[in-house]
Amino acid sequence: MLQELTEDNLAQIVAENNKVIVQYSATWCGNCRIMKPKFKKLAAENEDTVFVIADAEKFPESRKLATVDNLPTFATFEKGTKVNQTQTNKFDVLKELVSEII
Amino acid sequence: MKIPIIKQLTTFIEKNDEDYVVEALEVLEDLTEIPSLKDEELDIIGELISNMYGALEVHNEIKKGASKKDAMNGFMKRVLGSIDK
Repeated sequence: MLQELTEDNLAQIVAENNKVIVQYSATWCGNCRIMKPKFKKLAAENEDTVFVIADAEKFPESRKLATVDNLPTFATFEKGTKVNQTQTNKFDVLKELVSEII
Repeated sequence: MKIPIIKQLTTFIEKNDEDYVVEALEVLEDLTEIPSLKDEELDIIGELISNMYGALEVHNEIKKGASKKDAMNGFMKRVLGSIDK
């Protein structure tokens, strides 16, 4: 399942779902745009997992759940706890991160 | 993000039209789908796309009445405000 944050409530989503994978993005971020369709593809292939796209500019509280010092940042959460994160524009790197929890 | 590139692009938009940049973005984004693209090529295209979207954001602020300097500074603040550095 893929969802885009419309409010600053990522903590709630992470708490309520077993496995959550987040892409922190911004509208002007080129690498975020490059990765978005790939992230969506992974979401479509893994319908039991919650994939979330979070605008890092709009949602600072949600950003606090990971260390977002570059964009795009991808973070994985399992049972409410962060498992891992990476900053990448490479699909293979993202796939590896996702495979750690799926 | 590279300020000189965004400045140059903003000047280009003022002299010509933002549609050129929008169309160039479509081309660049499509190029990123090439499977054999090298990592460094992808990095460069990603950075170019960021600068071009940055220029569009700056241009939008100028259209709303901001000076170029204020629009540039405002955008760079937004960029830094989006990360935790």
